[in-house]
Amino acid sequence: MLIALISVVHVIVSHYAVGGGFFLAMEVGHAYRTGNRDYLSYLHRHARFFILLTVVFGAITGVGIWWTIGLASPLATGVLIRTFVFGWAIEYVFFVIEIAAAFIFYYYWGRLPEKTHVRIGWIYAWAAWISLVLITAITAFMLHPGRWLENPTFWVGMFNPQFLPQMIARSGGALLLSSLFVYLHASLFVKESGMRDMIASRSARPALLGAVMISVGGIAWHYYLPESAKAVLAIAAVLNVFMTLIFALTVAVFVLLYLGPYRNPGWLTPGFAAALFLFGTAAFATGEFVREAVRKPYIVYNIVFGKQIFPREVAHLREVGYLEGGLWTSAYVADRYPTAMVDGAIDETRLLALPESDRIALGEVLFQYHCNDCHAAKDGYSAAGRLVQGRPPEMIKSLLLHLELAHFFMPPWAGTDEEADLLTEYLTSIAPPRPQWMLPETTKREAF
Amino acid sequence: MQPQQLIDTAMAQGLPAPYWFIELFKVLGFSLHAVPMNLWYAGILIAMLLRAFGSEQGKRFSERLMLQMPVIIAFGVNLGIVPLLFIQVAYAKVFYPATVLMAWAWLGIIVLLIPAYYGVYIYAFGLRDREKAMPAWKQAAGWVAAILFIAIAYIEGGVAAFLTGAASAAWLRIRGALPLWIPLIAAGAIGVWKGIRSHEGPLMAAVMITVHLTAACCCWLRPVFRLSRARTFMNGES
Repeated sequence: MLIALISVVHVIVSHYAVGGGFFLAMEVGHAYRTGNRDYLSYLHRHARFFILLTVVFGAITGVGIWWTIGLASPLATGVLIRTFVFGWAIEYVFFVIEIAAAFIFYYYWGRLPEKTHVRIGWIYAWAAWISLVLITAITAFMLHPGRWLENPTFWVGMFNPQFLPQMIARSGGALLLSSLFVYLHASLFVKESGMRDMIASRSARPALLGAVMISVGGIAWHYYLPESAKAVLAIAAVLNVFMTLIFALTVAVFVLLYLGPYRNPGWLTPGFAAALFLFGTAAFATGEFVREAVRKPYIVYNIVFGKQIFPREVAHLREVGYLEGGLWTSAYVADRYPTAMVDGAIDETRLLALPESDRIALGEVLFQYHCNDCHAAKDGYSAAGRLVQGRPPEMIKSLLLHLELAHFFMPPWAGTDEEADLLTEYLTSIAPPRPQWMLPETTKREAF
Repeated sequence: MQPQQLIDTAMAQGLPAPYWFIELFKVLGFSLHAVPMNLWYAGILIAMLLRAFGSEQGKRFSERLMLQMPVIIAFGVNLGIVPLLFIQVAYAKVFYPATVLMAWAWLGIIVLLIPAYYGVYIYAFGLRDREKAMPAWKQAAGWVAAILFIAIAYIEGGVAAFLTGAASAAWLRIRGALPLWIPLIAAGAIGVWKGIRSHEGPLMAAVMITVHLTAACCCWLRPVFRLSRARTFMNGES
């Protein structure tokens, strides 16, 4: 949830950082050409807001995503970084150009020749867009690595099947979101109605173009999804609702943009701009959630499972045990339960002979490593305790042993039969009982 | 149990470039990051003290430094990306466990950095508006930023010690790093306190920043030296 929170906030601001660059470069050029000093003065104020939001909040939350993915998914992050280290290094170079151009553009406002000032704005805009392209290639790889599995090279990874669709959608998102930010800012801080109408009108076309690009990119995104991701979209009720929501919100934003800023610029009031902004960001956040959800059970599709193991490790862990196979888990068991160790290795049968409280504690360790990346424990996001509510232990164990058969979007069980017993005991201990006063009550089943 | 047992001996993927190349960029990147980093850790506190208690010259120095501070932080954070990227490539086996073990403190850096950075901007905008005296809340923002950056320095020191600890000893070594910072900050504070009322205030502040920078580099070199010794073990496949 932490990743979702930080990444959604960052994604919204970072798309504005890209689209806002194009807005400023284009509009400052227009203001110089038409000699509109009032508009230039507004753009100066907008540039200050832009710098404060993107250079501080946008940049730091971007680092924050690195922080959180490294904590939540260290193996996946390690694999991505080893694969794309030079992609990130190239992106870093463009990030330096972005920062330098942004500061020159703002701090040297009025002190540079007009042409140079506008050129600096364009340098910022294109550098920011190239950053977007590079990062999009990596996030697209996480959903569909394409031929990389057979040919694991940098460029094969970068130009994966999801790259172009996501790049088109995100470029459109940058244009659309920047216009929504401009509308919100202008509706609050521009008092003169003529100026406000002009801003509304001039930013409508990029916004409408952005909405079209999002739709085209979104359709292509769906077309190039792996088969399992399409199947997840079809069966998960919450994703059905979200996809409908995204469609409805996108249509609402498009219609509001067309009827409002494009046809009737005078409609741009703070309330109207806030509604547009809310609909647009809600569609964006929902889209990001869906994009993350369809990868299940992988963090990096076909390469790293959500529970931070490689698919090829499953067979080995089923043989030696999940606890024995992990460095920290085996060290933990050796330290806490020395009686379960034989010749320096965990004897799984001895684990089952431990007192009940220890078995539950070990089941919790298994839960933390095997399940906790996607499921909360007792309460919270997709809580495992709630998912097995009211189930008898033998059903829970059977589910654990056949996870990927019960739900194709779940990873296979990667432990021994004894470890499944330990995890079952833990899940039973945290699962609420079957709800009462609901027919048929299990204890009175014979009455029906 | 030997702590080395907690370090994975094999990574599925090899290094994407020769080890010396990754190490070079990590060290170069961190060295470049360390300069602005120390300017904000010690510099903001010194600038705030100089403005509150310093001579006219000290106040002028403080103002000049703080007017540049937003740009210094932007480029400093930016320069931090290089070592963050290459340390994850070179030391994945200790970096991730170290940050996971102190996850909340590690995440705390981001939580503290955002208000600290905005505090600097608020203060700098207050300085830019020369026509009126700076309101108290903008001055307070500068002090809050100074304190938050010191807190971040302590956490970062802990992470560096943790990286060392994960490679060579138990993670309780985190405590070992903190005393290194205490004399540094104390020395800086005493030096500034003595210097702020004299004409040599700015000079003294500049000296203390240099001392801070050098000492911080020493703090940093210690874990790097240890990790370098351990690199053959940690990157057996390279």
